[in-house]
Amino acid sequence: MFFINMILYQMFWAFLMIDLTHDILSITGRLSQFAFNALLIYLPPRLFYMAEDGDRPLTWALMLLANLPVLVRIFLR
Amino acid sequence: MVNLQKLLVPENRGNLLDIIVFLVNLVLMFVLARLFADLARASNANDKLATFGVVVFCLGVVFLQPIASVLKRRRAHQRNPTLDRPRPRFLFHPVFYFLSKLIFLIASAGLIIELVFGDQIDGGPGANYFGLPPWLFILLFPGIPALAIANTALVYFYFRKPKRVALLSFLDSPQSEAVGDICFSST
Repeated sequence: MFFINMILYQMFWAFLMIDLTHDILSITGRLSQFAFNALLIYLPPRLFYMAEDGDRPLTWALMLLANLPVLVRIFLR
Repeated sequence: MVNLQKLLVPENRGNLLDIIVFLVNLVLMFVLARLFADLARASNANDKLATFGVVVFCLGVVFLQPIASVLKRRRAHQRNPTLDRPRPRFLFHPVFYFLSKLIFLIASAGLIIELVFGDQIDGGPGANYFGLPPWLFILLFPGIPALAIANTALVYFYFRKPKRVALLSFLDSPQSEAVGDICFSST
């Protein structure tokens, strides 16, 4: 049960990211749009966990890992 | 060797979430995202059930997180006394959270109006209020930002150390935190 709804939210996030790779051609444009969307969509629900583990480098590495499929798509569209 | 027991403790929930999200992203995400795109398309094509699904999703995103922050707050501060000083500070600026909730509230309000009023929306003979009846426009114009501000305030209350005894003893229990986690994961 845990995280099942977060995965639904991730579906929405991935849906936005798929649109992003379709709509914006330049890598810099896609990256800046990704950063903006991350601040408004990805981070708000993640903040509560980040308040507890945000000072650990492992957390940032895992957040990067979690979004690697999206980032690979942004770079290698 | 990765210690799975350690991964399951409440302090490491974020890391567990990232690992699960990575696995789902890797295997299923783009298939699931296309399903979500189909839902959004059906909603745009006036499919009432799809529109209702999107409304439930948006309202869940907006309202479950404040509920979770209330349920988790006391236990989280007992476990982590530095929770009132989260790092990095700029990411915890309330304006990002406020804008995020504003977007979802505007989306859900628009869809609810579409569901309830359907084709009856007509601005009337007077000034055009985006095709809405004036009373509804007047209600929504300050109401949505006010709701987003209240939502943000309630969520940021999570980072303030509790100074009084809980009104309900349930809020001090591990069960309260578990229910809060379920709500957090809904957002």
